[in-house]
Amino acid sequence: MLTIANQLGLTTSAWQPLGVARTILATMSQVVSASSSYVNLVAQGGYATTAAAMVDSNGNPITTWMDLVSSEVYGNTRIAASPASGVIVFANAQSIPYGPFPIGSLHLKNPLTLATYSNTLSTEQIYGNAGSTIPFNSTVHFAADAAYSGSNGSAIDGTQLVLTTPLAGVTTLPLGTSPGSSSMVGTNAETNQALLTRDQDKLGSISPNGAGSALEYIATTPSIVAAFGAVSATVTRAQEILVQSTGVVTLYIANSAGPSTSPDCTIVQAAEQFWAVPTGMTLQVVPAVTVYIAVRVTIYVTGSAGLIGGINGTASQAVQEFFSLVPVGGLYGSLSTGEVSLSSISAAIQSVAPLFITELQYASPSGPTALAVGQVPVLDPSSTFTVVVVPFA
Amino acid sequence: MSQTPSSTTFRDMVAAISPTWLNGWVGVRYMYSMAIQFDAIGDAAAYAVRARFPDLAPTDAFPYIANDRQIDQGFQESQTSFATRLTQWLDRWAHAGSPFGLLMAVRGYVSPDNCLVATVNNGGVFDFYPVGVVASPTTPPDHLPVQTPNPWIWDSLSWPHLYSSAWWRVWLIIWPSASTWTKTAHTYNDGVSFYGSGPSFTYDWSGTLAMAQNLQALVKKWKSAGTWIPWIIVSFDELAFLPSGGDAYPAGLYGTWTKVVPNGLTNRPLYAYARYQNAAYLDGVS
Repeated sequence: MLTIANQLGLTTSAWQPLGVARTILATMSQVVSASSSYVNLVAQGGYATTAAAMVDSNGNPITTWMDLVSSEVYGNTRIAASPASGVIVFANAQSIPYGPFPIGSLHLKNPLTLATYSNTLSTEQIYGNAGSTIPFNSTVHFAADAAYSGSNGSAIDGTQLVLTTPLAGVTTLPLGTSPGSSSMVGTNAETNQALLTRDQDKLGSISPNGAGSALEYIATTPSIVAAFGAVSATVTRAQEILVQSTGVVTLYIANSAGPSTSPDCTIVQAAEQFWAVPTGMTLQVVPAVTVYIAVRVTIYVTGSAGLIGGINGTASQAVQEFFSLVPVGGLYGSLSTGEVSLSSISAAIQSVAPLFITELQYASPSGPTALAVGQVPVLDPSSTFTVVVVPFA
Repeated sequence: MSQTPSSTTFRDMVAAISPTWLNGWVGVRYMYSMAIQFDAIGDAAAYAVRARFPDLAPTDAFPYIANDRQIDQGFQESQTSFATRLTQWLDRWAHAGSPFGLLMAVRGYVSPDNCLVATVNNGGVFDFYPVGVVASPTTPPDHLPVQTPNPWIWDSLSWPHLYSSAWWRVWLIIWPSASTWTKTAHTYNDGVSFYGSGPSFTYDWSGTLAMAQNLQALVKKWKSAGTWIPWIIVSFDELAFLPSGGDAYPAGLYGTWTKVVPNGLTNRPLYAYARYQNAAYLDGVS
């Protein structure tokens, strides 16, 4: 503004820095600058592609524009987060029964991710086994606590949650090892990128001719699938491929924790048959295939020993969350197939404390993990995240 | 009754609404210096809104619109042609999964080359855009009915012998003009035609590995999920592969690259090219 005023013949060099004339121009310049930034957002907000990539000054996603574009252009709304929940089986080796427990009074922890869970029903008890030394099994419903409301509260089959509410003689059984018990799946709110993919996939559903993107759109849109049954966990990822030798289209589906269950596949199959499968096409909806990736890493951080506990748990959560976003079949990088690259795992861990983590040393994996068609990565329960504090020099 | 001053720019507006003491020699210039910034912001806002509309957008906005609308620009396509196709996105997507949708997309990729493009299925049914006919949602490809006998028997006499069972197969054939792609003299493993470390499907034509991969991605996007495209055939002979007959009919022998021919001199088999040589056979998608 000062330059323009000068070009118009005003003697701006004579204006004092704190004088009225310059102060007004300086103030207005800041207003114009802010307006310019807003116009930039207006331009970016016009495209789903750029709206999906918007972040604030701290690097956090801006969802406002993407929500608008998705809703107004594609008719899609963002899928909300849902906490992990499920049934835990307790073995009580004593004759003493425990409970019933008021809601939220019985607590568990995932030893790998440090996520915590609380009971959700007030009527359940952990029964004893009077007159016998054989442990008695009881089931109690749990959900992840609010701090772990998304995929960071997920616990896969084989995970043995530990009691943080002391109950003598009581242990939990690993998930998936008893009838009624299975992995607990939490789902994050749909990311901008996932929403963009669903927007693009929706285009395929305009046609009645069985475009592959239509199949993926139907499977990953809960509002459509819900009309055909209640899935145990929202389908967040899908990949279709034609089996050349049979002509059968196979649709692999997964939730944020890993492969969807067979009953969930049945529900999605019904939705696909109703909405997306044309005459002559044979579609088979199947669970994606698990590829366990054991991440054994030593994390070197600068700072105090107090950082250890926090980084340990959040690092495994960060990797778990990253795995929950990897498309079925993987991402394309250095391999000829899909993959999960080591650098992307490192980026997930680094994001936990970028200012403090100085080095990562992996015992496993040693490089990119190849994913074939239909495969999704799952964090192996044997993973270890060891934090080593390096004092400030 | 007072009347609000009418103006088309902030510069005019400032002059119109400023009191007399601010409209002197200094005041006018001072206010102008600020108002012109708001005019610039206003213009920028207008351009920001227009930038989402293909017909009004600057060309550097096209990649974003293209990704939003899942319409891919051809490697030699003009911006005007691409803008037109971008505005047709919903009408084009309405045909996804059909020969119509696939052939429109392929024509877009080779635009402005309005060359002959066709799909032919395992039963020998052709859909095609003739040379010069502009592909658009209002102009479907020509469709030939079933021909008897089937002129397109790919592998009834050669491995893998899928002709009698794999009815879900469809071949895409492109007859590019010389300005688009040409036949190259390179052959497999001659040290020239093997581009990078990717699949060895770029010899025999002047296209690049990226073009082949883009074509594959395009076909994957626009074909029906239930269709297997075993090969994308780029024919450099305008008389080859035609539904009306001519050169290069598979005759059941195209399953493998070679075929055995009679050897009049010895009992040893003599191998010859099974497939018509004046064409490139790019890996398809399933």
